[in-house]
Amino acid sequence: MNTLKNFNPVVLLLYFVYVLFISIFSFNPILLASGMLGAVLYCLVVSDKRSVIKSLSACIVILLAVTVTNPLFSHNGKTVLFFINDNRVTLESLIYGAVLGLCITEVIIWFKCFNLVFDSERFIFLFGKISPKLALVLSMTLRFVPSFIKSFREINRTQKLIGNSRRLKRYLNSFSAVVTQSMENSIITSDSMNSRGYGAKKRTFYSRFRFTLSDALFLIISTTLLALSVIFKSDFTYYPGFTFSEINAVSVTGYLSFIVLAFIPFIYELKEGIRWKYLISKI
Amino acid sequence: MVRKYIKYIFVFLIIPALIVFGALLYPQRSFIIVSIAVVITACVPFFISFEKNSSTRRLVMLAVMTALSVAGRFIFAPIPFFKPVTAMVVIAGMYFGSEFGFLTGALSAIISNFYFGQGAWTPFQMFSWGIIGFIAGLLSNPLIKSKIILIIYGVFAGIAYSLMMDVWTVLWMDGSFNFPRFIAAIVTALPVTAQYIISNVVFLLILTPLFKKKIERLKFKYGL
Repeated sequence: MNTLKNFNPVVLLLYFVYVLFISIFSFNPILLASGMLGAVLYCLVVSDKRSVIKSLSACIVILLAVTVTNPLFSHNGKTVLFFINDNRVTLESLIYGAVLGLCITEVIIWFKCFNLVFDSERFIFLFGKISPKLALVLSMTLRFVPSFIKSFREINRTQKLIGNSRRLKRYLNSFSAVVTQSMENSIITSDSMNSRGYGAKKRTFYSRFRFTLSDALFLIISTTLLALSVIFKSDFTYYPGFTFSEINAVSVTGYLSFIVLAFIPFIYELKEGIRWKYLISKI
Repeated sequence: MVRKYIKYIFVFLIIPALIVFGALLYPQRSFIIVSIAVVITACVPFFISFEKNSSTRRLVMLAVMTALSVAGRFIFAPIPFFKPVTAMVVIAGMYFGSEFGFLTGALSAIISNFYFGQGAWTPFQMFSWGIIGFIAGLLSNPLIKSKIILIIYGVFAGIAYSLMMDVWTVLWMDGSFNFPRFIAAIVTALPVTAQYIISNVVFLLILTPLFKKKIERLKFKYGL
């Protein structure tokens, strides 16, 4: 079940922009780790466990590789651990590498969540807001791709049966046939669109997504949390020495607001799941 | 009313605000903010001008060219290293103009990422393919006339695409331009770059005459 999808795509996009904005730019290990946890929990609830474990293990490899290689590229930092070929390997650059790896893997997992929520329909809706014509192009393209592949397969199979056995040549011939067919059809399609009055008036865009009260609520909550975590942000610097702002009531507010922001999808999904079970039990 | 001005608000208000805001708040990572903003802003004028003046034929043709470049990626998938997307974008730019080339490149990136997963790289991919198609449109006369220039452009497109993606990797990792890391990124990407170059050149040489014939036929038959 994926109930987050029910929100308006604009609100959802803004939510992902907020989370990614903080994750990419703050470069703060505490925020990165909590964002990672929120995203992983959400993925575990919504998608199947195996794919989550697969991407997590890929993430661990990336994390280790970035941590180990970072001292090769950056020799800044004051705590020298040892030398390789007269190049300093510092503790700070190792830490920086680990945070960098965490940042990269966190963004990968958040984009996994993004792909779970944002299908092509929502993308087309967003494009329709800016440019209805481009939205039309996108949805036509999405229809064309599978149909071109299908007609390529048919032509290719026929070519094979009539004895065209050289694979590369057969592929190119069949592709060429698809090109001819599709370009010719495009002219016919557009003439037919014209004769039915397409473009006679300004293009509008229909979508079934509405902006409801819960969308407004979601937008307000997430924007407030973003503002709080930006205003009360804590700085981390890595070079020359590893320093961070002291932990006090202000910085804790900043951290907590981002943690809540990052856990919204998971909490919402959990809440809807419980509600669903409850409603079923009442039947 | 809001919908009418939303794109202008987007270009002239939101993106510059994002740049200034990001650069002031997070000085360590300012480069990456600026680069993302630049890449997105670069695409918007093309989208706006497409929205304003484009015939239905161009609209459908854009959908067909984009779909062909994405479908080509699946069709030629059994043959290793053969990715026709860049070649198709170049051809679109050559025969239909620079704006058309840019849009084919940008939309191909979006559409193919529906299948392979959207990521932080999507805007950069859109921009890189878009620019390759745009330049192909500017150079359309020499590219159509001379095979040697076409080959050179295929090589250039492969290198340019690879370099642009490397620049973005480095900006992403360091928040500023770290030259040793850039070199390392180029070196590790060398085999991939070589594949890009070879498949670009091969596809351009094979597909260009093919498309030329078909487009001329269409022009003759329907008077495009």
